[in-house]
Amino acid sequence: MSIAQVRLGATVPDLPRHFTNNPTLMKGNGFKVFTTIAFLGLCLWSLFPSFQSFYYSQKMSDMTAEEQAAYMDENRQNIQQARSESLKLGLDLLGGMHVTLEVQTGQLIGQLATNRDSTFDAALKEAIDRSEAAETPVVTAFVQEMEERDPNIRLSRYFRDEDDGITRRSENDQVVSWLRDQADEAVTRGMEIVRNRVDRYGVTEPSIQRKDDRQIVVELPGIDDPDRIRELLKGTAQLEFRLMAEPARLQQVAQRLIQYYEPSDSALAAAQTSTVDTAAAADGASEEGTALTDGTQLTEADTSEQGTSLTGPDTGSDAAGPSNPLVEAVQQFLPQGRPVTIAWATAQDTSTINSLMADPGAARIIPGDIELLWSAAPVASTQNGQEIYSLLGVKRQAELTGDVVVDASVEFSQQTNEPSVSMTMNAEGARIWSRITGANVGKQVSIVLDRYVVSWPNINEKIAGGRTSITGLESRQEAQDIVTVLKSGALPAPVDIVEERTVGPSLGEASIRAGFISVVVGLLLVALFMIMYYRTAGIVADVALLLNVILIFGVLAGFNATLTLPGIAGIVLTIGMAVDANVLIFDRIREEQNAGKTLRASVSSGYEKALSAILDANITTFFVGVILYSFGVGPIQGFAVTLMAGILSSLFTAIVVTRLIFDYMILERQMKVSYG
Amino acid sequence: MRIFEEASYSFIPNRRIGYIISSILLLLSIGSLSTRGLQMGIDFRGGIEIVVENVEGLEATDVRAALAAPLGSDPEVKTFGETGLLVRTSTELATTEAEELVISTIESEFAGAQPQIVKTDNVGPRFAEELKRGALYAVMGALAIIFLYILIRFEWRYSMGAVAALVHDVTITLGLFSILAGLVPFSLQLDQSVIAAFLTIVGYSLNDTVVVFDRVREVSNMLKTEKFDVIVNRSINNTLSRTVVTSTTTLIVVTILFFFGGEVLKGFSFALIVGVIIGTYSSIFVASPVLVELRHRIEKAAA
Repeated sequence: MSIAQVRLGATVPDLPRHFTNNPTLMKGNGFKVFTTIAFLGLCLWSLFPSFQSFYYSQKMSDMTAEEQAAYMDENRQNIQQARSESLKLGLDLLGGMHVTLEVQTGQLIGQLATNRDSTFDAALKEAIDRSEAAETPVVTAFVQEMEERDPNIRLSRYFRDEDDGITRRSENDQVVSWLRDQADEAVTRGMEIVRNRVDRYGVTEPSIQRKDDRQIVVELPGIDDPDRIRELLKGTAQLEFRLMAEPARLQQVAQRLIQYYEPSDSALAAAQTSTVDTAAAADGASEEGTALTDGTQLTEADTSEQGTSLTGPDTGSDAAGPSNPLVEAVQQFLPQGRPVTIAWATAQDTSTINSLMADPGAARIIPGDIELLWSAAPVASTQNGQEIYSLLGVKRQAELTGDVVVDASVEFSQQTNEPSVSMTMNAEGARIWSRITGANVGKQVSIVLDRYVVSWPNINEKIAGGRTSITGLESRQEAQDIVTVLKSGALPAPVDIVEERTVGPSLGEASIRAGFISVVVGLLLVALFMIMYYRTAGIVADVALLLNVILIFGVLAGFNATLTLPGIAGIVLTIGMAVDANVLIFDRIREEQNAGKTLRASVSSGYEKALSAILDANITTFFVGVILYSFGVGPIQGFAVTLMAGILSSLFTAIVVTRLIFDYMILERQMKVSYG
Repeated sequence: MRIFEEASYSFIPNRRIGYIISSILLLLSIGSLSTRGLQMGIDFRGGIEIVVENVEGLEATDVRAALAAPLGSDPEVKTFGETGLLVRTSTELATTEAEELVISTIESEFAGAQPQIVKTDNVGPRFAEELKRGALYAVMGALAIIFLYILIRFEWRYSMGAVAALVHDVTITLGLFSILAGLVPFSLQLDQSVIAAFLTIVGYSLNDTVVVFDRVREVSNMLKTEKFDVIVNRSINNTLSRTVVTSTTTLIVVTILFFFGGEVLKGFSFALIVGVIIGTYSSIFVASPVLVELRHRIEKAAA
């Protein structure tokens, strides 16, 4: 039906002229011209941030460190945007670390069991071995092992979880699906912990992804201390509840620290400036507005106060004299209304402050029972968008550790729909918690993960029943983050590094250079060869080839793909293979010309007859690309991506673009095109 | 330039020469593969690989002797690029430990050396098993899908010809890896990137074969009365110019990769160079003759 209509339409006599038999034919190519220009425009547009980013880094490489910092501050937003949108370089080019972590879910099963016996232990051991040998999930292997030992076994004998409804009477199926959920959750939690740690290390653009059921792939560009990262990734997360330092003592510490770093003559001035702040801070309002309450009672929070002021004791920065390094690094000492915060600082200054604090003389000033720890998340931001972290005074001694937390969840108030965190502790934890909260009503308590303070709510009342509510949170996200931390307290299962690849920045640079040279030399030699062999047509093929390379890079940037060294190899290989389509066409045109056809007829039938071979040949190579992509990791996937992008764009440039050029030359300009 | 314009070489009539050459190469390859075997890289075997720079003038054999005791196993030491050394060990040391041992040993045994680590790979033995399995699946999957595709696009005799050529190419390339390992100054161990190269060779060789087959199909539709081996021979000659040009451009770029692409890509680009040459050869001397033989057998059976 529809076919008949189309055919009818095509034979309508009064169709516009250029649809039927326009001698120039170029107008009929309008759509092709449009798509070519659109594609090219799109690619250049998606490559623009890459050029921008390159421009910035070139500009900054000529500057001194100070000029760089100033320039960075001035153009932070532009630079960051350009960087985040530019073509990503793989770790093998940039230098960095690729780590595959594996969560030992087998050991998790052992930890979850409440009463293990010899059958259980033997089955679990077998199951772990088996799941390592063949790729069966450990839970499945474990259940099979148990059933082999005793066909009528009731798994509920070993596991109990009242909250999830796993009791003595639970069916095996129920227990199995609960175990699977737990194993799955362990990996999710492991990922969260890893993300927290990596974020705190300050790696730019880390990538943390889950791979199959229990592996986590972590990619960290530009690492200068792989050793520390290894420790960071493997170490078990330590969640603690600690009381805070007394505000008055914290003030003294702050003053003495400033004095310690004060160039002798202006010591007095600094001590005075800081006391101005401390006076205000001393009345001890609830910091951040978060609060701890028993049950469901809510505390209204006032979180409007965001510290953006950048006052710090001004120690004569315009005078050429020596300045106080600590004062320089800190944004603000003892910010108002936050009694347990000793200072605010931007993320990039935290390491400077850490090393200043680690100085033996400074370390002596900090009392033995107090520790200064950073907040896990930023508390505010400066006017130019830098995030500010709090340096908090907390007690060195942990009152409780995370293993007492049985459960945590996000809840919403029925009246106000405000998010809160509900936390449940086991009996022993609840007893100690009740004593601590009872003795410290009105003060703050901190939740510390891996030596970073996640939250430091105010204790509103004595919490007796083990169920605690953290209220006054800013967002659902904040509540969720706290829940994640509370649940991750004791890392559910050990994590192993099963694969690690580290490339130093110098080798990365050498690889970029090598790749660049290969692309340029490859392009030049192939282009020369084509001109030699096919004359004018060779030049046209070279134009297509150049366009092809631009398109590949554009597609990679547009799809946010990562360029790796094998990826560059894929581009180089594509340069060699991309001309194939044109070679097929040109040879065909030559054959047609030899058969006595006119130039115009030869070109047209050359393209037509070569098409089937071109498609067959490229589809098969494309398949190989797809398979490589689905099996490969990192760099190999990069190769597969460029190979596939190269095939697609070379088909387009070789079939559509060259045809356009020939049509223009032959039909429009009546040129004699030589095919060599 | 027109070199193969009027090409009319007798490829198919002289296909026995191709059979002899291929048989010799295959025998050598299989012989070496079954006796010498392949050297597995750490991707498929597990182990630690550390590349140190700044060790100009140190002999790989001396460093190997020095490292044997501290690393507690038999480490391999090779030159890496012009100035570096690559240390490969299979011990299950922690990465940090191995790095420290390598650095401290070189520093203490060779006065004046200030080695610097530029690259470290550590693959656990179980993860290596996983990678090996993945590579095997990929190769099998690729062969299966390609076979199916050819089967759909052409008839089964073509598929057999194409697959015979692929098996031929991969076996000989693997064979060369086995024969040359240790004889050439760069690493010829099987790792993920070499597998990627093999699959690319599979794609390339097929590309070449498909172009010839496509022409065979076209010509045999045109000249229904002509003998099949004549048609195939003519098709090979007709496409010879294209075969040579594309092989040349591809060979140009993979050779560039081999020389300029850096040390990391040496094994990868070596596999590609061998593959392009063998792949071009096989589409003329293996895939097409197999097609002819199969057709003859059918004709004989019918007669």
